[in-house]
Amino acid sequence: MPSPTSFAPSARTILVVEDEAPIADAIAARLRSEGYAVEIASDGPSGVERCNALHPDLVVLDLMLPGIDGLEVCERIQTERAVPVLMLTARDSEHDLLVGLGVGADDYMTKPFSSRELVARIHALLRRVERSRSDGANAEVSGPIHVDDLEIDRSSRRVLRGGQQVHLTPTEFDLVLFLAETPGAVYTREDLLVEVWGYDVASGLRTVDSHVRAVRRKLGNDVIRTVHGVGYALADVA
Amino acid sequence: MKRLPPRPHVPDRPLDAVTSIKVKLATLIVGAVSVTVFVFWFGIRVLHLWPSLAGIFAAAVALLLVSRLARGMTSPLREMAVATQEMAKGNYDQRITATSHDEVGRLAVAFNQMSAELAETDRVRRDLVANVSHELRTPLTALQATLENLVDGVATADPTTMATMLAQVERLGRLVTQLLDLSRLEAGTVPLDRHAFAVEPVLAHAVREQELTDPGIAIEMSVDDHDLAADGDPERVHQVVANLLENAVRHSPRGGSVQVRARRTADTVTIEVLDDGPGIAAADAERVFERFYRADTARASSDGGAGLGLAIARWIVDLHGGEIHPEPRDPHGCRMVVTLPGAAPLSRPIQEVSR
Repeated sequence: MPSPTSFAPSARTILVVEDEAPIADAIAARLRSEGYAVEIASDGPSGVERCNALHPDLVVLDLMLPGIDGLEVCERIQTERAVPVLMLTARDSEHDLLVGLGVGADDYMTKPFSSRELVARIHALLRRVERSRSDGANAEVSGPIHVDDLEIDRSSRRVLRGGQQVHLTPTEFDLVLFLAETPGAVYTREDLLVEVWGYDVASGLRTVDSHVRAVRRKLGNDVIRTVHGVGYALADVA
Repeated sequence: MKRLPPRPHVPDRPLDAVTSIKVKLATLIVGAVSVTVFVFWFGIRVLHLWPSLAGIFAAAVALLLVSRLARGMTSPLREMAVATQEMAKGNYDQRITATSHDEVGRLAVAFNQMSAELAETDRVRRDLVANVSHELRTPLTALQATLENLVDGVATADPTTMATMLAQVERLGRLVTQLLDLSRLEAGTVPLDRHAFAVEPVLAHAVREQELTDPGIAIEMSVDDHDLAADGDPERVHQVVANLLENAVRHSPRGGSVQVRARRTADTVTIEVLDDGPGIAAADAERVFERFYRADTARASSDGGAGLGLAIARWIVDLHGGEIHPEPRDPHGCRMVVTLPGAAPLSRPIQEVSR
């Protein structure tokens, strides 16, 4: 059973938006036992409302919700404030996945899932957000990174392409930032999973692909290069 | 079935309007022979060419004519060969250019209809798999999360937790039973055990069962004639009524009332199940019978219905040659009307239904 180590989760609040009461209750019990404060919302509109009132540190969001569905909930809660979202889905078709990630989910799990793995991923996600925040604070002196016409500002967590600001989700930003720190260097999907997502379970490899596609869609196809048989690199066309 | 667009006129295919391939071939042969003879005669008599040169010339002109006239005669066959191979790989959006009016053209039209129907069947099958997997995953997720909590000591095995898990297992069991029922009905492997049967005991049995599972809502039953008999499989009709009652109770507000009525209408028997729930919108009247369709998504998942009950009811009623449709009620609610073939009153007043 994973246990919190590097940070104290006691102050963390997690909002669970799930319409199936038995699932929501079981997840909530599990997360409470890990020391998180948990709130449950059972439909889309109340999920958005609870999120705006509560300012949770992380949202566990079901894709299929009554009222407004998970994708729209995700979009709405992200417009107010960037909050990490872990999406639960009962459909594992690629399309759902891509759209989900396009609107700002940082990770996804397909039902039925292990709640032990859910906790592991939540730990990793929170740790990553924590780390990138402190990176941002430390980076104020070092200034923005420039690769080709890409400008990445670590302190404000903003990305500009050709002078135009592009909105990226927290995970997308971390992925671009990690690749931009060593332009041209090729990383395997496993490397990226460990470095960017912070966990070493191989079940997340498709997460990497989906995020790469989302970044390409937002920043342009030439930003991240696929190195066949190896992995990905930030295009360094000198 | 979808209507295919009208055949476009392709000017490059001069013989498209001919409706028989025999006439086409005859036209072709007669045309080629006459042109050959004419050109040969013209070359020798008018241009005073050597016979061999005139022959070559005539053959060239005839070839040109044949290739021009025959255009479009066989190309649909070649297209079909390619399309068949594509369809064997599961790619159903293949269409053939069907402009000619002969046998080949008709075959091409039939081919296009077949591929359209296959594509539709494939879509329905994919939807079904996606829906079934969603319906199976949800209770499984609840079970896995709760069981993991028990194993890891996060939750204790108190009666409430166990009851929650039991409900999920029951939901899974019900879904599997319904899916098997539906697939057997669709495959036609369960023949109807059809005979005249008394309607009242069948209704009474279904009402009793429903009241046992959900004692919260009372069901009122009225049959206008104790001898009312219908022609059908009583066990299957019981299933229809049970599904309708389950739906009615599920959509009833707290303290609502559900009624089931049966009466004779000409040579048919009409069974109605009425509730005062939210009712079914006119736009959904047909779609509610589709597998996994839910009219009211807001309360769909928590109330336990998988969306198969009405699909099963529709199949059974169709097998009987009957009819089923929803009607709105004033001010709100739903009246499900089932019409079944009637039968002469039975001599025996009560026929026990075996389940």
